[in-house]
Amino acid sequence: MKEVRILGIETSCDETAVAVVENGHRVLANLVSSQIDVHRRFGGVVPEVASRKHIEVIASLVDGALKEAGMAAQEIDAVAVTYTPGLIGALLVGVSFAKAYAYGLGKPLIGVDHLEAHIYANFLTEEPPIFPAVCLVVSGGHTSLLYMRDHRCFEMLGQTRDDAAGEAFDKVARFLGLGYPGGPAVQKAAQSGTAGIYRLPRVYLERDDYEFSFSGLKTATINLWNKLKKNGEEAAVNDLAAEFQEALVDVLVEKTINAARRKEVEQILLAGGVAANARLRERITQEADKIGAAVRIPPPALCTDNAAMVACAGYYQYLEGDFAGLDLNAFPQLGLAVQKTCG
Amino acid sequence: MLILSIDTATPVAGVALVDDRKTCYEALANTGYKHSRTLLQMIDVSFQQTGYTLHDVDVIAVTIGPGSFTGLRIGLAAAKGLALAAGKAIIGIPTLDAIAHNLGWSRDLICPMLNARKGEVYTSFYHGGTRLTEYQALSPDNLVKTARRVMEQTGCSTVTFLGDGVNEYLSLLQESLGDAVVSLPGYWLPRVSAVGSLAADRWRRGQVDDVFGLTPIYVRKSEAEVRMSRLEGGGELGVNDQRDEAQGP
Ligand SMILES: [Zn+2]
Repeated sequence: MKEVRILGIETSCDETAVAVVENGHRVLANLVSSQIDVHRRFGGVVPEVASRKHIEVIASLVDGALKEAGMAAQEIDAVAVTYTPGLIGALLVGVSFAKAYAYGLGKPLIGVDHLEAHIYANFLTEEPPIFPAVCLVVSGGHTSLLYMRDHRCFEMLGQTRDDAAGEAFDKVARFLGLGYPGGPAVQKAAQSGTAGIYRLPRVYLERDDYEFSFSGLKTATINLWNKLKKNGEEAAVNDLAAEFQEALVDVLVEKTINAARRKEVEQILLAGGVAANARLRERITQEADKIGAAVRIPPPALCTDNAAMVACAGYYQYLEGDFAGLDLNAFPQLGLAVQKTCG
Repeated sequence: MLILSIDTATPVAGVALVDDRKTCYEALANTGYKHSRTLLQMIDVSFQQTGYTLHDVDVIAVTIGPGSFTGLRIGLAAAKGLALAAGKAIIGIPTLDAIAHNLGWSRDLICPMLNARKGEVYTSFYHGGTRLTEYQALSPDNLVKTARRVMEQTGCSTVTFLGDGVNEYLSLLQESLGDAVVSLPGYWLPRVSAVGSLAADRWRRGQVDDVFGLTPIYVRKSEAEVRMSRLEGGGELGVNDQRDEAQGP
């Protein structure tokens, strides 16, 4: 069979990313231009600032990715781009560029759902996951638990009702003055603290479903900190960070393990930036072991936003001939495009 | 020499094919901000209608602002994508220059003004083919002040106002400037063929832009940056908060 090479483009949030992936798993180039330093002074991602950075770097990244892959643009078989969900202005840079680029090359265009792309980061390997699987996507924008029956065939089991897990990390880190981005900052503080010294709620753990809520946990953390300060107690920020992380991880792990057990899957796929969290990795691996399931986690660089995962998801759409037209648009929330009927 | 010109800076989307000095094809869609959906389709139709292909094009010309932040990026991203894919040159044309070029024959002072929300217009003054002032966002009061100053400077007794800002501010301008205000409604719309003809001039002089380095002329900082610089004590005069990012495609 002829090699299929997909150029992936990702601009849904604060990373401009371009990648070339061959046959859905061989990463020939994977470039990311991070804006973390730009947004750090604002304490979070500023949509207009993010969009401005995307347009500045996108053309150079595409050029750079092709050079790294050692390919001419004409050797690409299709252009895949994230079109939902994300920041609308940011998505539009990638979508507008990708449409014109595909048109200019005379190659097919593929519109990719960012959530689906995160899951497909697990397929960027010689040994792809085994179906069916349960997938937990946790990032600054998502907390979603899905059942994946086959390629491109998902059932949404549950999502967050309010803040995404990564968002809760960011907000708590900002409040506690730990820095930005919040995930790594909280994890670092938690490593020199002890969970259980303070006590925070495991929100929704009592519910026998797959819904999440992290806004209450965030508020409880902030309230506890304020109370300790008011009482003049010597409050240990590291212990509080550890308890916050543990409370969040407890809920993620238990609900995911429940789903894996009930759906009788052999594998659990983690995805998204929060999947890089060491405590989550450790706990979910332990618990999965108890029910005889294996946990798969992409390497950290493929957990956070990147375009290799977009190209990989695009490859499976390419095989199905699921192409986009010249009228492809960007959508901030599509209510999960991947939730489609499976054949 | 064939130029494909693109304009999505305002609610009017435009695509033109300009062959040297002759406009072969021009389409305008005054349908509001639907550019993300329609732009590539409009480009495709322009080729179908004329029989040209992207292969025949020498230069991709695009308006680079001021204008809607999102609109500017849709046009520029598309222009970069086409230029990079097909190995074509790219030329960015300031939006206000293109609108003023509609009246290139006029000896009058010309003032294109684009609705910039927040009670301001993006504007600049032109005379005899030369731009006299910076691209800036001005309140009607400051626009009137600038108009008076530029009239005195050039000895012109009237100013011709163009662009979609005229709709909103014409009566206000007439109150302050009286008979000095000329408006030619037929020339208000941005014409993307003018973008092509300005790009042709630059092409002849060998002034092409860098496909990697070309960025929009926003005129305004983002709202967050403005707020940040206020917090940091750097007062910003004449720069208003603006939620352009809230605007849809
Ligand atoms: Zn993401």
